[in-house]
Amino acid sequence: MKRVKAVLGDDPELAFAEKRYNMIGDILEECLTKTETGMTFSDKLDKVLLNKYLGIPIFLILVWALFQFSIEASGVFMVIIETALVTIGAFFGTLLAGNEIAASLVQDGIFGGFAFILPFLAPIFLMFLGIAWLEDSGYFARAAFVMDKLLRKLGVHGKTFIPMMLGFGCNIPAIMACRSIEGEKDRMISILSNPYISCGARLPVYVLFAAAFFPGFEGSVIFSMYILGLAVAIFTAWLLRKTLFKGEPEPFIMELPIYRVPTLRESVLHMWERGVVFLKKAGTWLFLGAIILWFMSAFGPAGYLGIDPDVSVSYTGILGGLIQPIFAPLGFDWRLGAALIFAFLAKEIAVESLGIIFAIEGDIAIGGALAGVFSPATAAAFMIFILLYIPCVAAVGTIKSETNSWKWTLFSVVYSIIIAYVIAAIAFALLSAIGLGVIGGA
Amino acid sequence: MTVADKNSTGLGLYSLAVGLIYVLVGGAQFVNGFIGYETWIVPGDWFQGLVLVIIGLVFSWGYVLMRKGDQEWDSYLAIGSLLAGIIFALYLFMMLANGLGWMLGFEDWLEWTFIEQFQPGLWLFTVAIPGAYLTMKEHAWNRSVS
Repeated sequence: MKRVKAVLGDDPELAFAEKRYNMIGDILEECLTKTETGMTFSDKLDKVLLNKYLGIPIFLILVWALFQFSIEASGVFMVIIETALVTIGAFFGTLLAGNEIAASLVQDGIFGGFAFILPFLAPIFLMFLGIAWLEDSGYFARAAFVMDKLLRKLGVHGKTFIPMMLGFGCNIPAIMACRSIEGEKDRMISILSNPYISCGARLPVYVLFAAAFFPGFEGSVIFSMYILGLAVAIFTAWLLRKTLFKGEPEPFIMELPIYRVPTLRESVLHMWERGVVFLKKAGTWLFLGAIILWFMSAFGPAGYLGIDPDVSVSYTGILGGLIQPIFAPLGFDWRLGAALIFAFLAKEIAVESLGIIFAIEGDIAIGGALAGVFSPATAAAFMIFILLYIPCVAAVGTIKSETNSWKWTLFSVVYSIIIAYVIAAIAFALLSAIGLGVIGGA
Repeated sequence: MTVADKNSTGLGLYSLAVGLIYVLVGGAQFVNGFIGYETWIVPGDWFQGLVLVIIGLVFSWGYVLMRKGDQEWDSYLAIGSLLAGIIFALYLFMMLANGLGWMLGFEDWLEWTFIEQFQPGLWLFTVAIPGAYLTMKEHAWNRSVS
């Protein structure tokens, strides 16, 4: 390759691509009769969407619109799902009224857990619908192209942005998509920076906390979380390039697809393919998690704790209490600490665990209950910690299989905890300094 | 020959006017968001204001290029109209969804009013409709927009 580079005086991959397109051009010249058509509409759109100054602001507008669409418009659908599940849970609870433990398991554990997690199907499905529109229209490829200029300045491969965009759905396929990045260093940087991209599983946590602590600004607060995740991913990629994976990124060659008006059928199909993963998880892992969480919150060393017990003496309370001193500087109590432990299995479990803890304590309206216990600064620190600390167990497994290294997997886990703690602590301190550190202070 | 070729100056001035209106209203919304001043027609929200300012800049950029003699300046009118249309559709969908919550009598929507949802991104689209219409008329919005 070095010899080819010396002969061609350019990067071999770029030179080959140029030669290939020149050859295609020559063949077309010989066999096609051209008529003067000027620029196509796709070319015209690219002129603006890939504009050096307007490209990134337009990208941010579209991503902001995506979150407004999925968050602000989904509230009513969430209430419809929640009301249905609470009603069904209450019905089964009445049927089992003779057996207090079984009634608590069904009403607070199973349906309580589902009532806190399944309503998030609404924003998740709407977000996947929006992503499908952006993808099917051909814009996503342009987003990578637009960001390439910025990323390249930071020494990061432009193609890294494609797995990053996929990470908005789920980090697991996104980390696997890094296989398409040719250079080993570029691939490792892409894998290790991807977990900071906010996946759909984190969305329920943001929706819950943003609605409870920042009413009227939910969309903008959640959008900030996604931008923060993107910024940390880019910062991590830059840091890795400057320290552990020194060198120049490989050239970025990508064929831009033509713009299309997305069809409703295809978009709904893509939305379903991604959303159904969440639904399957709810039927298996989240169901199992709900039962374990209920058991750990309704029982303690003293046995069954009864109706509306003091959950702080339950197994969940003991577990949360153990790590509470570590998180005290962020304003987290044992409940948030316990939620963080369980959320390692899947980030949505943070919502489920808080839902079950508060439901068992007798607070059904979790949003109001949270706002009565924590300050907006704590809420923001918790959202940031959930965004940045260890991705779920399945994502950690994927990092291991894709890097084929325990060393890098461990690095990813430890680095993510440190960066999550530092940024959450800074946010907590800053927000507390402007008066958001008091309960009810939003 | 495109619509822009036929009446460049008129369309260019229209693009500039729409752009300035978006920038002014967006700027007011941006400032209101910071100083906490609210009016029903321009509520305070710095980020939504910024979105409108960027859309306004896209429209205005087209006029600047037209003045420089760039043949493809109408691309900016098309994208400005498209972005304005997306923001309009977004607010309309949010209004319909929240209206549904109010109709069903859900607790959080009992005090919901049509006015609070009447965001500038919604009503400003009325000035961008001619541009959106011309864009759609000029380009066959079939499956492929080549």
